[in-house]
Amino acid sequence: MTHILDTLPLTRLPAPGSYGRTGAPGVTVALREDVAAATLVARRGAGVRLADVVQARFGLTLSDGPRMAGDDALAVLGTGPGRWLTLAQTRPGLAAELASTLDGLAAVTDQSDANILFEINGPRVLDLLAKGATIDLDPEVFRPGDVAVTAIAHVGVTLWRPGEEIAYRALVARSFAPAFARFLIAGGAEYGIGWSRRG
Amino acid sequence: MSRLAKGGLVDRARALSFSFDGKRYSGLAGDTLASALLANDVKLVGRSFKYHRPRGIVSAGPEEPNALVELRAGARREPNTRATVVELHDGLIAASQNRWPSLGFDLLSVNGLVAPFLGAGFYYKTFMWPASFWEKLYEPVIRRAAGLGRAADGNDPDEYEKANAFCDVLVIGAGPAGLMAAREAARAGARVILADEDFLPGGRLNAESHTVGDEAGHAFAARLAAELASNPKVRIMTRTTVFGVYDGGTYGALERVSDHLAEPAPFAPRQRLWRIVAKRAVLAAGATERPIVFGGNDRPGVMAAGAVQAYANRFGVAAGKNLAVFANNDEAWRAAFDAAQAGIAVSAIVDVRETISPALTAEAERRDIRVIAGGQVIGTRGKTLSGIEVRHGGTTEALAIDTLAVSGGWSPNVHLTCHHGGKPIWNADIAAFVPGATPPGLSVAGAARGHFSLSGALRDGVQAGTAAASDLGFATATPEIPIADDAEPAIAAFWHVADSKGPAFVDPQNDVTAKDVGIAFKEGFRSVELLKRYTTLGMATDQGKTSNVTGLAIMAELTGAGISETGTTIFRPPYTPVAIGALAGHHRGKDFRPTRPTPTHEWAAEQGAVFVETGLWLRAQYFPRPGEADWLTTVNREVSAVRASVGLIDVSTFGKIDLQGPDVGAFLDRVYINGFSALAVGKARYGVMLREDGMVMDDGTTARLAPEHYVMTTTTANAAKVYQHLEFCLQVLWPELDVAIASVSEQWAQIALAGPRSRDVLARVVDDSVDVSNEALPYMGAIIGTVMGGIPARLFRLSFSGELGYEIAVPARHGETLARALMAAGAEFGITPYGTEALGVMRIEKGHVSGNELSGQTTARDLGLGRMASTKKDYVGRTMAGRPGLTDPERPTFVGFKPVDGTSRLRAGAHFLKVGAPADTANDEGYMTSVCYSPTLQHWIGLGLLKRGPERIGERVRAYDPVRGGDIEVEVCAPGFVDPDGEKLRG
Repeated sequence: MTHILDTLPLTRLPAPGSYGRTGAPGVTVALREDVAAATLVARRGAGVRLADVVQARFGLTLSDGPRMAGDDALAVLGTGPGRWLTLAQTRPGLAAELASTLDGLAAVTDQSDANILFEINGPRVLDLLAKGATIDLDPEVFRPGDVAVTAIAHVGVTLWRPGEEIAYRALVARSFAPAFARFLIAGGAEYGIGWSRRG
Repeated sequence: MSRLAKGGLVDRARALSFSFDGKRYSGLAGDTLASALLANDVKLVGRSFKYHRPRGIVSAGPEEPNALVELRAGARREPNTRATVVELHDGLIAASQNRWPSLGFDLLSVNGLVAPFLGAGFYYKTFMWPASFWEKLYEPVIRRAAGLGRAADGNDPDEYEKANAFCDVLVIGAGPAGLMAAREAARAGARVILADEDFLPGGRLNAESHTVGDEAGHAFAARLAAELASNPKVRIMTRTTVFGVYDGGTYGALERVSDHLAEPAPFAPRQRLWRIVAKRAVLAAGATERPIVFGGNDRPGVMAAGAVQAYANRFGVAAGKNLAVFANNDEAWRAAFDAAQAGIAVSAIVDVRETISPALTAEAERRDIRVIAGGQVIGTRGKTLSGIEVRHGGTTEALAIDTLAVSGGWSPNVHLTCHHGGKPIWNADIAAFVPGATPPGLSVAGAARGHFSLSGALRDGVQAGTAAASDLGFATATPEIPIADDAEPAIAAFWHVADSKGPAFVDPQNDVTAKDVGIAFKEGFRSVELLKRYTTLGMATDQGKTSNVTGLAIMAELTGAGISETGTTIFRPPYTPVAIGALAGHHRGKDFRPTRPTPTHEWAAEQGAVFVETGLWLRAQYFPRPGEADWLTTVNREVSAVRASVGLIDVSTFGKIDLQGPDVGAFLDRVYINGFSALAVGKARYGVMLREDGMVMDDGTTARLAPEHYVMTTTTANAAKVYQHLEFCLQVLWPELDVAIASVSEQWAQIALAGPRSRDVLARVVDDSVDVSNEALPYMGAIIGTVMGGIPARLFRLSFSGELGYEIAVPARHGETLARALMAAGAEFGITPYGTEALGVMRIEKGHVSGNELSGQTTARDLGLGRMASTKKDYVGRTMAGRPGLTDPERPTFVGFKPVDGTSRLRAGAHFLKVGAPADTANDEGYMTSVCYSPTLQHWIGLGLLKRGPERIGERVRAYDPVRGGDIEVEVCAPGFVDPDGEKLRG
């Protein structure tokens, strides 16, 4: 049998459709390219003021650890000491807005084109992620709102669990997205994968 | 047929068909290949490694030294699989190995006739001279005769994968101790993984006939396994061997997902390699039965007593029709009784001990089994066993039997306890090595700890599971310990029947005899590690699981040192063999590592690009057109087109780093050798950075976009390294600097436009508000604007080619659109896409350094960049770059080269010698780093590092390339071959 990896593009994202075992998919993956993103790096000595302004202006708590606050409209993820990633689904001018609001408190860098967002759901999502993630994703351990900056299948990934549901988001650098898609489909083929693109 | 009429944990309703050496047989679901072969009276299953002696099945587990077979056929053929652990499936194909022409008649068994000359150290002593014969004659002949099995010829059609698991308590082994440990830890609320290499949990509970409480052992095991399986916090992993203990509570395990199937189900892997991270682990790996060494002990039909017992109880198979037992311990008596219970005729129990427990002798009497106490087996006969010779009470006696069940006692499976350097400790009371220091977090229970009775294993398991859970803070109740019907078995250490007949094998897999151990002793190879290497005892697939202790015990007898002092060889991972395919998982072929396409990849593919791997990136190398004979023709066209008009190339692969904050200028002054704080807004500058040791790390341009906002580019190869370096400098060296950095390599697609018409093309893609005139955007200018109707862009006037050039950065999703827009805008100028080859040619023509020169062994001065280094400031690497060795004027320094005859091809890697000087290291004056054919100059040109190079311009040197037979004279010249004064850049 031809292996599924031999049927997938090496340099493009796979076309929407079903991959692997037929029937109800064990894992569904939705790609999003319409999410505005910006890194936020606190300027020296400005961390506390930055947190205050973000709280006041956006109602979000900047966490010192790998945690997310907010929702699809506007979320902020802790990715390192004094470093966050902000994501917004309906704010194309996110970076400019942040830059003007947070002038002097944080360096803001537009990353809206740097990454591809993968929404990964389905009853077998944890079995699939276990094939690549070397962190403990047990729902009791990796709690709603937890974030991890990690590597899966040699690809740098920012992974988080947005809510109570056993469902995950993975942000992957644009040029690594086809390789990450190959990981998802190769590992998920035995469960059946439903693949779609949005935005 | 030797299938018993009833009994066994096999499914008698499900017959499975299989073949061995081309002959068809039938087995049952629940069989191993070994049990199915025995059920079909197949006794001879292989030939031995060295003497090609006929061999049969010895064990019923992973320790099997003899029954190694080739499994499956074609591309799935797998050599050296142990028939004793191969789960039977319908249609299984197996073949014996290491025999020619057939298993029954093997020509290489003549080796056995010369066996007296083939003993330990034979190769070392015999093939010493003449030395020239080694490579051509001795080694090929030895290699042909040696080795077991044949690897498959085709690519493995199956997939392997890797996975990670986490738990509080990992229990290794699902025998009585493991099941109890898992149960107690799970009842306390811990996350538990219970792994067992077998397909049926229970371990020896399935092989023996003990009862636990009022339940049969195997039923007890099944009930416990069911209880555990129903607990959502427990994962039972059958067919999974934990093979290694690594750092931080990490365990390696191999799950044989599909090995029990003819071929894997669609999309399922054959095997899965697990990395299990466990806070605590309980090793309940059981024990392995040892042989007693005596003459003729390798004859098919001589088996481990516990294996005979397992075949009878678990598989419902009589290993033979007429059995005798030869042992030094009580356990073997239970094997004899179980065999008799199963209906096998048991002629005698020969025990080396004079005194035996009355309970056992009474039981033997009740079963009408003859007991020969103080007896020894001194010989065997038959191609497969037909009889043994027994010595007792000063007489010898022949017994006609077809199966001899042997037991020299049991060795705890301590292997995993040694993986962090722990040394097993000899316990004379039980004649066994028990675990010494264990890896952190790992405890040992049951037979693996030397508690051989079922009662002991159950109690031990309960305690280990409870301790592991309570250690992790789980509340544990007073445990209930099941009662079993046995006590610790007695044993008298006994290893070797010294004066027996015929070769007495210690390690049947490697054909190492007791005599070989004697040779090693006489020749001084007495330490166990030397004994192993000299005789090969304990090597190969079984790693001496049955033979190590016996071998070292025989050595200890010879040295008189005692077993404790002699010690054992160290066990290293893996416990059993692991396929390389499993270690690789999906990362093979093109998936060995990720492939990174550039933003314009699809467009380049449409243009017919040939791609090249540069690190992880796939970049366009050149764009051949119909009718072009070879790549050089294409590259020459691309270069000429750029120099004459205009071309474009995707340079998105460069590393791009965003720097913001009031201290960026000061920061850049410290990481680059040249100054940046005075760089004006709207300007870019070329910079060189050093490693701390003074060698050049990377080069690139940094532009100042706003007073507190800069963007740096790095080479493609060093993108991650430079970012890491900057991060280190900011976090560790100068945390006081207010500088924020972010990688924007993936955010921006960047396309370089080069050639005299590049401004005309650029002007057509920028929006009206953007002025790209020479005044508004001069050489080394950097501006922010929009292109293609409102798309944000950064425009840099930079050149690597030496031509008028620009780099245009747009958000990555627009990269492809930009390429198409530039192509359309440049159509009237014949705009030409070019690849990395043409890029390389033009930079050599221009005399720029690149990866070949930034080799990590060159200083700024070596590269002709020494004058860039500021003397007014400190920077990373400055002090070390001043070391005498790095400032030595004799160092090879960057210059250009051209062939004296005007036509010869230059070769990168050629070394420079003075003309007429002998070609030896003493005369070496440097080497050629980069060469190309210059379509502009119409001859080959090169760059290189030559001793005092810049002082020798005009001189001729010899470029000597012994690898490819090149030896020509070249003229030293300045490195800039095209537009050395840079007029084109500024036009």
